[in-house]
Amino acid sequence: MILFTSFDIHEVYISSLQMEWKQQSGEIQLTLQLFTDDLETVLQSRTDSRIQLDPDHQSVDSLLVLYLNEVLALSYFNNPIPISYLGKKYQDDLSRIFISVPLPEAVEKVDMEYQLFLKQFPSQQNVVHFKNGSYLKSYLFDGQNRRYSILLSDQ
Amino acid sequence: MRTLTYLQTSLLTFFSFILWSQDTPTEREGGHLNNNKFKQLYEEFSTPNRYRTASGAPGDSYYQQQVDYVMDLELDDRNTKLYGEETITYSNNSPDALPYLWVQLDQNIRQKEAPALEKNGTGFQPLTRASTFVKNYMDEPFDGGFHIESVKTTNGKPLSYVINQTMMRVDLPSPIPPGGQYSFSIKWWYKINNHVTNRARSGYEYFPEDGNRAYVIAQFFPRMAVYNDVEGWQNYQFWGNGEFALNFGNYEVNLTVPSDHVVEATGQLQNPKEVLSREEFKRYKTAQNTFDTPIIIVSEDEAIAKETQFSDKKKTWRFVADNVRDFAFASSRKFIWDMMAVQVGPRKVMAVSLYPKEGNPLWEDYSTVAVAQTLDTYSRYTFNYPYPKAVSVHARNQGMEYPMICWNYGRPEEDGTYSDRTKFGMISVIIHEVGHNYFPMIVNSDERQWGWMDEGLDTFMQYLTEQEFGANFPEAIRPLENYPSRRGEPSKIIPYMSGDQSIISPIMSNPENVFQLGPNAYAKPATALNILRETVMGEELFDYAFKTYAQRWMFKHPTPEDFFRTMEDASAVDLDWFWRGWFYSTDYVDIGVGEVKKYHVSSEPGKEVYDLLEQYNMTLEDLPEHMMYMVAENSDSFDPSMAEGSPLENSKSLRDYIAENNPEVDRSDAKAPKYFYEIEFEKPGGLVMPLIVEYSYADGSKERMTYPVQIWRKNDAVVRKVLATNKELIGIEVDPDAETADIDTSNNSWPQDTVESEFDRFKSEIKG
Repeated sequence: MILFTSFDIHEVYISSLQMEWKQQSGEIQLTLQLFTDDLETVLQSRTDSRIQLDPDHQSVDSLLVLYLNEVLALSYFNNPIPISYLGKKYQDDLSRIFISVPLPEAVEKVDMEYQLFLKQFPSQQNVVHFKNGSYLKSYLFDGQNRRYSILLSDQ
Repeated sequence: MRTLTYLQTSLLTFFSFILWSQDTPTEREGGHLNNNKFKQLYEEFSTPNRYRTASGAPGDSYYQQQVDYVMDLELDDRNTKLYGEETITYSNNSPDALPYLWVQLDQNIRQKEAPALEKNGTGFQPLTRASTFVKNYMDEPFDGGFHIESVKTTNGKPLSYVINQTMMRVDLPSPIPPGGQYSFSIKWWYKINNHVTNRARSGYEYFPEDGNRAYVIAQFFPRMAVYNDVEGWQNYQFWGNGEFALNFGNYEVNLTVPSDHVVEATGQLQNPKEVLSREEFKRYKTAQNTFDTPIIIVSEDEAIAKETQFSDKKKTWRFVADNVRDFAFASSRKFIWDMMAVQVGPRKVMAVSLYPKEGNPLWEDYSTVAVAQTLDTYSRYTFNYPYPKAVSVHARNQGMEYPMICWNYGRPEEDGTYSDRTKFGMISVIIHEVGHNYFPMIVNSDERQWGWMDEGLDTFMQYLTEQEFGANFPEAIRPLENYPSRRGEPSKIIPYMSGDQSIISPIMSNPENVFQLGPNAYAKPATALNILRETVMGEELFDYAFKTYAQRWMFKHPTPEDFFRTMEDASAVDLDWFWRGWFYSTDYVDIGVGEVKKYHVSSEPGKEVYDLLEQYNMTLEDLPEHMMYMVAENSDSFDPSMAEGSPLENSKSLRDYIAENNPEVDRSDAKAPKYFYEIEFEKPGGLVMPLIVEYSYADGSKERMTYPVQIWRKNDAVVRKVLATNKELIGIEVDPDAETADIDTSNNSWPQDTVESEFDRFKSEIKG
């Protein structure tokens, strides 16, 4: 059998987000990897024009930026941190989305609210891998866990 | 190099001796069990016996039950109901008398109150779309499940039975003795579900534009459970994820459908002349001997013309299938039908496709050729395809396999255009599902218990087939050079293997209880086998052993151990460490290069030697003759002059030793290595793997070394290797071709590369 979603065709609802804090360059670098089918389904549900996610079709960047801002919110001490969308890449059935989050000063933790695809796919699992030098920590976001405080170091 | 090793060894032995003689009392450590990664799998494996041997082959007492079915079925298209009456003949080949039989009622998973509907924990969504809200809290659930009208003996007497969810126990008047046979009949019907809205492996798709349905029907009749030497009765309930455990047997099926439907099913069609038009029959006969290109039996225009007919007449299609473990069929007046003959070894096999017009133009172009490629590749790696045909049916959103027939997705846009993703998704799923004919339809593993035994092996073979498809049909994959397989390459499993341990399960887990069934049963075992083939065993040893497994267990019921044992038995490669790590644990690969020390041969002992001597209250004079002194380049005793001159020039001991023992050796022999390196390899990851290293030298040359996996058997964390060479070492890279799924490559090079992250690369790309 091939397992797939109710809309399309792969075996699990899952995404991974690599989150690396680069203190020298004063940013957190986010690399979000997800199934292109899922993204297409979700963006399609938000517009009447036909969405086709491949390099030969129209740009969906504005839709995507709106969506990302809706499902991903970072803050520290209740101050929202803006996210900056850099672009995306397609590879086979996966998309990689690159996002930069400026964090000029050293802080202890960042609060993260993250609900990618949860509205559309109730069994979606979003795994976040945080990295700061040799410090690594993973978080699992899903329907029941939509918020975490991300500690930026193990001190 | 050999000389050096010898001298070093004697030096080491000497000092070890000194160390041993200094007896210092220490606190005693407690004992421990055998935790060695190379420990044999005696505890995990069951004891071999006469049913299943230690070699991984069926034993001399191996048995399996035979179950034959005669069925009359009727599809009521108007009311979406399916009616059936079946006679089951059960042959008890086991050594045990059986007082009752277990029958599987898979459709009961669609009963309103099926426990499977409540198998998952859920949270409440504070924000919900109206459609989801209606579906979850307002809609009546689908009222499916079997209606069992009767269970009777061949004389028409009722048999008593008990239904427990998806399993029915039929109580027999007297036990079936070993070698005995028993026949009984079941009459049933059920309401067919829409497989698109209800997400199922079986059901219909409704086409609102023309009011028609396309049926793909499976798990649709009460089927005997498996009784064997491993599980007794395999009556683990059907919860939805764990697929099926089924018996081999012969089928005779009469299938009555509306007269304008086109039908494909498991088995040979017995009455083509009766059910096909004269023109269709002519094309059908032509196709049987057409090898190059598919022959259209029912064309798109002909299928479209039937869409408005809704015939009230009926036709009965008769199918016979020998030695299959299941029966499935597809039926619709919308179906377009093409087929061609494929030569598979000595046999002729029909490659067949069935699809509504919504599948075109993709389906007429690629389905039947993908079926043919699958039969060709899989047959070469396992055994010649033994059935008369393989059918690929287009069903929206489905990828599901049955003997000789499977359902596959891949639908173009309404205007007939399609993306590469849709095209490759379709070709891949056809290869995958047709490939399931080999695993588990013929090599009949227990899917209910071990999802990976068919999905993993099939996904592994799928990768090989996709690559051959790409090579044989370059125009289909242009402008790519290789088929874009989504699984199989080691690098693609890294995100899963490096994921959060709390949501990863070992491959050796029941499919119902894993967190991520896709990577768990499909991608990880497929990648593991690919690594086993290309990196650990080599293609020749692997392919022979894999074929041995397939042929030993063709038309039989293997367990995981039968596979593990056969792979070792036929190759003489000890793989217990591999099965333990990759299949029984969630460990991952992370191997890196640590400290690298450069040594020189010195005429004088360095500080280290004096320190060592002092520790044991000795002097240089206490040492035996012909000792060589090695000085590390970063030590205090190092003097740049040591780097000049050959070891022979620098060491009097070496000169003397050679003169005494090998006077024929030319003392100016340039072969004595000039550079000595001690390289430390570290292994933060739990998996042991062969250590693949590429050494780069100052003269631009490179050298590849593969140290056997056994290098880790006495130290699971760090090992050191000495490299003696005439060329200066300038770089070391571990796993240079990324063939081991190493999850962290930041420690793979010396000197440590500051590898630009993908993020930084992307950033500079968009700036440039």
